[in-house]
Amino acid sequence: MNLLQLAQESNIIQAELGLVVLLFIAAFVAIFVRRFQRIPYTTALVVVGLGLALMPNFLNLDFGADVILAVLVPPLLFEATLNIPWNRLQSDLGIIALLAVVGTLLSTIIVGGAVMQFLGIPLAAALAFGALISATDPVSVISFFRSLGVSKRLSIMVEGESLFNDGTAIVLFNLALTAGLLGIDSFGPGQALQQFVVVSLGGLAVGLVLGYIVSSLILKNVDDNLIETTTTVALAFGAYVIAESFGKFVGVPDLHFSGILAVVAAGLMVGNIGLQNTSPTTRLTLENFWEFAAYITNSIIFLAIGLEINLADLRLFIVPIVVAVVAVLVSRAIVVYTLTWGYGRIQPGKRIPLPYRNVMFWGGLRGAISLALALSLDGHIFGATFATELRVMTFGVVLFTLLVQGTTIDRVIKRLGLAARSGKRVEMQRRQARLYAQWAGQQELDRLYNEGILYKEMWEAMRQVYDGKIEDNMQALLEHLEVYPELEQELFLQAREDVLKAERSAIGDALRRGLVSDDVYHELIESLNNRLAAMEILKENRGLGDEAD
Amino acid sequence: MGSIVCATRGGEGSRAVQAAAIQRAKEADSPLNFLYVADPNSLDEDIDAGLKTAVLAELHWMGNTLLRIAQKRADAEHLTSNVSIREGSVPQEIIRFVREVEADLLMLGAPRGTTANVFGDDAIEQLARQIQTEAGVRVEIVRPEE
Repeated sequence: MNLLQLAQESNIIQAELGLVVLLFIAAFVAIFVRRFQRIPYTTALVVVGLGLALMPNFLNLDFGADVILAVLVPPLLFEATLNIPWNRLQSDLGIIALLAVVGTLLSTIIVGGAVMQFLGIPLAAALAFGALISATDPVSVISFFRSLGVSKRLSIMVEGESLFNDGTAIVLFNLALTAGLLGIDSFGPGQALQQFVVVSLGGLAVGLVLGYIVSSLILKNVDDNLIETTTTVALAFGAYVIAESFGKFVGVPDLHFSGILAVVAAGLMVGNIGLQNTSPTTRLTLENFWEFAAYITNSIIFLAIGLEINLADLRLFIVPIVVAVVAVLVSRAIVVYTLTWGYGRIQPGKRIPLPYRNVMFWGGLRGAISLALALSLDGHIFGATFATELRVMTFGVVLFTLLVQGTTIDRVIKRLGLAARSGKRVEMQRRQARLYAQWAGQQELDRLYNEGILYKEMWEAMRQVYDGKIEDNMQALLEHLEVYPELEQELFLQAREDVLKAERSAIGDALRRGLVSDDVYHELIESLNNRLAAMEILKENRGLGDEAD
Repeated sequence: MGSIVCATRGGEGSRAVQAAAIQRAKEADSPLNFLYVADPNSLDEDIDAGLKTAVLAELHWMGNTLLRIAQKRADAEHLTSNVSIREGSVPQEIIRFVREVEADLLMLGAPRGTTANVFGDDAIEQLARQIQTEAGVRVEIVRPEE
């Protein structure tokens, strides 16, 4: 019996074959994109998926909403949060929370109102669409941010908003479904708000607790990269499952929390506490593993988006799609420009520059979460016709944002002058990174020696080699700065910001150790936060003062 | 020859102007003063008072660091130098300082090439003319090599 015959008889083999084909396709698309670098990888995957969808018998993989939400999304979110430093997130947490909660709510109402008004879709169904389409997915935008060297602050704001608004959108979507089921009149705003708060905070709490347990009990105490990596896999999926099924564990079957927010909170905990307590080997293994996991799931999700879209349906529902696209763009503009402006008035030191706002508006792509929620719509609640219309509208909006916004955001970034990556900066970073890596290597070497793993002569010999390498790289960095003296100020500003953060962290330690009172702590932290906000201003203005160097 | 003042801000032309000033001071055996001016007027008006204080404090921190780097570069050339940080309008503080130290020469750093595209009507040359006229001191602009 050959493999194809076997596949016809076994569902598992069939699914496995489908997966193998998908992975091969993803690999070929990646090679193509790397070679030509014209369109984002994720957009290319969707285009290829669309092409494959024209061949109905080529791939028969059915990605239901549950598979996307429970299996494919957690690794993506977990990996994204692992790399978000809390202190960076914290400094813009206000605007991130505002966009993720108030912004998503506003967007739900604006888009829902528009599709109800112009397309005659019932209120609950319109709000469900408004909610599902409000979850932003910046995967392709973030990849441009990285390649173009866009400021970390903008990157964190875009990524942070997306991570938290996924949870908000899902909660709002479920509320709209409940309203559709029970009737919109039987569902008051107070009840909705209460449920929203319970589901969101519950999800965050589950993630924080589980993340803390894994970080402090396992990552801190077990020095084995395979065990630690395995634990984080269990955590990423476990946080989702436990939050979603929380009621079953405590005897209240109807109680459930946001699994998405649980994964986000767990990832933040591991990235900021767990990884600090592991050895460099484990950190490297973990980072590589999660980078790979995110790459694989991302590839599958975006290929699946293309495969799920039926071009004939798109033609049939072209008017609703156009209405939806316009509503999404208008709502995004209102949300981003209004909320960031208002935030800047309340927090002048943390105002968002206009070019950043423009990128946040145009970079508001839609992707996996919207698709998964749309796939979960069936005819039971809103009727088969509306369910199909909403699904196709979602596909249309996702496709528009990926193909139009996703392929032009790099030009927007460059035109707004936000692309900082020039050859000289890349070279400086390269030389800095080498030094940084070698320092880390040297520290690990010392640890191995101190723990008796290396004998003295070998340690000394290896350390001498490292000393030489470090000296060479330091010299290379200095030579580079002599040729490009304008980089010196950047280096200074970055270093100053880093040491201020270290000072802030030390004040936190002092409080935990009882060395300072709450009052003194708050006074010092406020002063340091002001200093850090001042650094942002100096960085934006390159040290202030135009007259002379 | 009287003293030389080198106004520095840490930008693209800083290293070049510091090197040129050190060289000139050695050749002429003149006292060398490095000057940094923290200018609060360059802040946006809508910034609140607490943040403005923090920005000024950070400008002083930066000035201190930059002046120490400049002084170390002079030390490496076996030249003793003085450093000074002032706060206020850049042209007015430079004028006041060159008068105080009775400088014969003021050296300013500038980015490579023309500054017209960055500063509009070449603000550095305007600044140089203004100081030369008001303080009666010779002003030289130094740019890094292309």
